[in-house]
Amino acid sequence: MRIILLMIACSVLHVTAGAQPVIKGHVVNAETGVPVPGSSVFISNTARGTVSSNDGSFYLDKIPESSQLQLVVSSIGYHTRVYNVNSNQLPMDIKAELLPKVDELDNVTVEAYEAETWDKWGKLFLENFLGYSINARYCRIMNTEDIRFRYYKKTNRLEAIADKPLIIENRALGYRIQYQMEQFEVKFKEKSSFFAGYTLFQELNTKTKNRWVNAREKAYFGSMKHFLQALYNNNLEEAGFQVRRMKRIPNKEKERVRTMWRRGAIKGNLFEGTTVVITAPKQIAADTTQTSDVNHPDSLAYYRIVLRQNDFVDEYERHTLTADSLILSNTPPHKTFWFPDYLEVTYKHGLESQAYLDFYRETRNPYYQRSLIFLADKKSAMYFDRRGNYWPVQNIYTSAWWGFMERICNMLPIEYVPESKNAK
Amino acid sequence: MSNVIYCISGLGADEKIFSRLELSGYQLAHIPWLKPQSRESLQNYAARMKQVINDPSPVLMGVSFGGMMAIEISRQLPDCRLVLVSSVKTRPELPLWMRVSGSLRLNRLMPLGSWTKSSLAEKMNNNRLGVSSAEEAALARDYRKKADPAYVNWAIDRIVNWRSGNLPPHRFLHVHGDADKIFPVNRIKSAEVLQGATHMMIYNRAAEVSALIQGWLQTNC
Repeated sequence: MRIILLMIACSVLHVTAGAQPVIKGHVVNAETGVPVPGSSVFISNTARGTVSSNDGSFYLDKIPESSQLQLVVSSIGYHTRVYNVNSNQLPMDIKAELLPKVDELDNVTVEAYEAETWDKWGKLFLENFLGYSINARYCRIMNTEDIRFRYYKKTNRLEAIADKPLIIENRALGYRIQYQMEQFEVKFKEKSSFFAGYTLFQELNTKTKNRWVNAREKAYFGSMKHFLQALYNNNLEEAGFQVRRMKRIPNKEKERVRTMWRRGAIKGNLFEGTTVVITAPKQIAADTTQTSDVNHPDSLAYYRIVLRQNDFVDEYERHTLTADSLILSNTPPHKTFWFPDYLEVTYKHGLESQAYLDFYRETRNPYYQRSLIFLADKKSAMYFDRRGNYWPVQNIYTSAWWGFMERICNMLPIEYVPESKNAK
Repeated sequence: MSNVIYCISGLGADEKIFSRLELSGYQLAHIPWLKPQSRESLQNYAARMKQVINDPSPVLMGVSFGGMMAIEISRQLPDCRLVLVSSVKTRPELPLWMRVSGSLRLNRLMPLGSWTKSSLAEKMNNNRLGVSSAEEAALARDYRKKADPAYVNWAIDRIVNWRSGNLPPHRFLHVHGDADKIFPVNRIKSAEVLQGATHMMIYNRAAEVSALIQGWLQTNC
């Protein structure tokens, strides 16, 4: 009997030993097969990273649980390789082959890099990249000299390129972030910014760790990560989130009038003239039969009113949604969600900060933290897991509160769990 | 990276079942079913179907029996991505009655005949497919009318006697409905499960299926 028990114990031990979350392997030059020592190997958005040794080998353990992790292998002078890793399929042995970079002729491109780079664009870059919130003031990029800018006059957009990983010290949350920037773009016309890259977190100083516990919790509660975790666990209500659908209806009449005006079809001055009687827009649409000047659909006064309306009207649905109505499929360890149009997510356990109100030049009192999210490609579902890790990353857009907060200065690693459970 | 998705429809069906999918940025190329040679093996048939694919790393999408065929084709390709809808990946995922009738050769004792043409059989069949509207019923009836008995008997024989072996090492997405009566979901492993979706979901739940596929393709490009 004892032997049988021992055998069972052994087999259990064996099973657990076999399923260790470990990735090992070695990095080689894809062309010559020679090992590449000193290349950086890390799991993006986590604190798990290492450097390949002299024979090109590496060993990463304690890989966090997620069905979509990105193993990033990079070295100066080589193209970065990214491997999609499912933590269910660990342990893993990877032979990472890096392609050497051929000397790129940067200076011959038609639109050359800006000469006065940092002085001109630095502030704008920092604001869009690190963020505008209080935490951003405690963040520093240690190697700003590696960032180059390129401004496209025709399309009115700015691109930033970094050849080396950016080292960012976040003294608000206590992380030293190694950021491998793949893309950074500001579109001035659309007033939108987009950046993507691979992130490795390191604890800044383990001795004074307690200082950061509160700051990290503050960054976590009400964040998108928190929301996705609540969505996964089906406890939006308890976590303090309220979700409603929103539809943004474009003002077709204004678009029509605007294109007419642009074509030069409307004669006369639209912006100066006799005082205009402002009526509610709906009434105008209803009473087109009236002969009064303002209500006539082909009068200057009418166009003036239409052009003063908003570009779109936001229609909110009255009832709040539960997690089930957003979840499309449920396949542990991940789920998917999907929605048409917009979602309004309100976090009832926190108020907007003064910095947020100042940024948007609002003079009102702070409301609850309210964010809008929409899917860039309206037909594509979002995959996410219990850690709040989500993909495809380029597909989700945030505005309002999260648009303000979800920047590098408030970013937390995948494996982050709040230490105290006091969700206020 | 090419943006063509090679589609293989279900047993006896054609490209119409993919008509409601909306995958922006991708083109759908349907691979039609061929006339099987007598007692042709799945491998051989797959090799013949493969000839249309002239892409070194294609995306193959298969529905139902088409999914099994996509897996067989992918075994003969060094690199590809698989999208399986309402399908099975390995023999253990087939329901018990199919496996048993395969081993007992019931399908050969009782091949498809006139008895399957009755209205009762049609009703039962529609129920199993999860037909939910007159339009879908008409589509199913159309496929039944057009189906070549030699092909159907061959296909059924290949399904119930499928020796799948291990899944090829390609990246795959499996979307399945939890109300699927042909391939019950309880045997299906690692699939994205759509609530209340039947075997016809590629047609009657196309928006959701497209969303899942699109999201997956974007992450696994």
